[in-house]
Amino acid sequence: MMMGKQKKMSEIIIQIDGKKIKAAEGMTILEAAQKADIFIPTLCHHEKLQPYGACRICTVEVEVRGWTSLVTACLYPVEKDLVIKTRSKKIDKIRKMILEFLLAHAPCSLQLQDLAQEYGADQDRFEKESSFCILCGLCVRYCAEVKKKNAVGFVNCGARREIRFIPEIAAAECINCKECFELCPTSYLQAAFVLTESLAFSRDTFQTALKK
Amino acid sequence: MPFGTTIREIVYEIGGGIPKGKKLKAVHFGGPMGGCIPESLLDTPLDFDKLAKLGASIGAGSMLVLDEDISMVDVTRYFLDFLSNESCGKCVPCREGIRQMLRILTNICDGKGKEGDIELLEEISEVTEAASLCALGKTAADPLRSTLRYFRDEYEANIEKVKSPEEKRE
Repeated sequence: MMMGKQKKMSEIIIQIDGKKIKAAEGMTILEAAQKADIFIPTLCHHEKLQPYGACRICTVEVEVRGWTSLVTACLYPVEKDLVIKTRSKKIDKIRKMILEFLLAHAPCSLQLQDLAQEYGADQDRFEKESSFCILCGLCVRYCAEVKKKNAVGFVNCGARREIRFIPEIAAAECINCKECFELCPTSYLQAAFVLTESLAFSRDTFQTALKK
Repeated sequence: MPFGTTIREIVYEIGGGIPKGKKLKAVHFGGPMGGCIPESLLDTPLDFDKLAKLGASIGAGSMLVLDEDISMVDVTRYFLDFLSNESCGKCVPCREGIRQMLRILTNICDGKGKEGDIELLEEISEVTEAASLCALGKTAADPLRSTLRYFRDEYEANIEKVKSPEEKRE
């Protein structure tokens, strides 16, 4: 008998905000918390996609053998007797500033505004630079991982990073898909698509796509 | 260079000192994510632990000797400008933290500094250090922290200079 294959994921007990919670080994902190109805804010997380760890808003405090450290809940795997805090002065300070950083780019995003209220973030703290995109990568990753088309991607690095539709792929794939639109927390994605459409799609593209 | 040699020996005896008899202001270690020590600590020996305690990790081993004409605020701005292109841009604390710190530093250098800028820089640097995904973001604010540690008066003077003409008018 192949014991390994039949062995169930072993159940472990962890502690979140003082509550003892059952979790399965291999789960992330976020998954364990969601299963126990404990809210941890996320921006770049999506259950259909691989954990990404870019927005850092799900940062929580963990205690392992007496050592506390800050980790991202969407990436950190739970382990036996792990002690997790989802709110603290330190965590709130990080979340507040992350929101303030992002609100400078997308002040109208409802998702950001709701969280800003919770964490007391001031949307005018940093000078506005309305790129409207918070670079959560949901569209890019959805297109790559679920649709396997890579019609939208990241270009440039650092402060110049942005998303772009690749006209050749987008012209063939996007007109009848657009599944990524509803994932976007700021609706910038639609604007980026329309821009690509108007600048780089030929008339033939539309006609062939619409006939499909 | 044997460990234990003092920084003063390296600069003045091996390096031949500062050209044109100018005074030394600081020695910066470890490139754009490193830190600096002021002239008063020049007798520190070249040593990983001792320099790290002073906030100037040796890093890759580079040493940048700065004379009295250099503005430490401008040096910090330069490093962050470099890092804003080096950051991959994936995580928010690094990408946006560097962007905002660079903006504030550029303002201070351009004579547009405001009261509270130093405190804001400190707050941003804490967040980028604590929450960034990789070591680039975690250490991006190191030169800022180290120049604030030893040359805070230069930051204050730069902001004060801006403030004074208005105050005189009042």
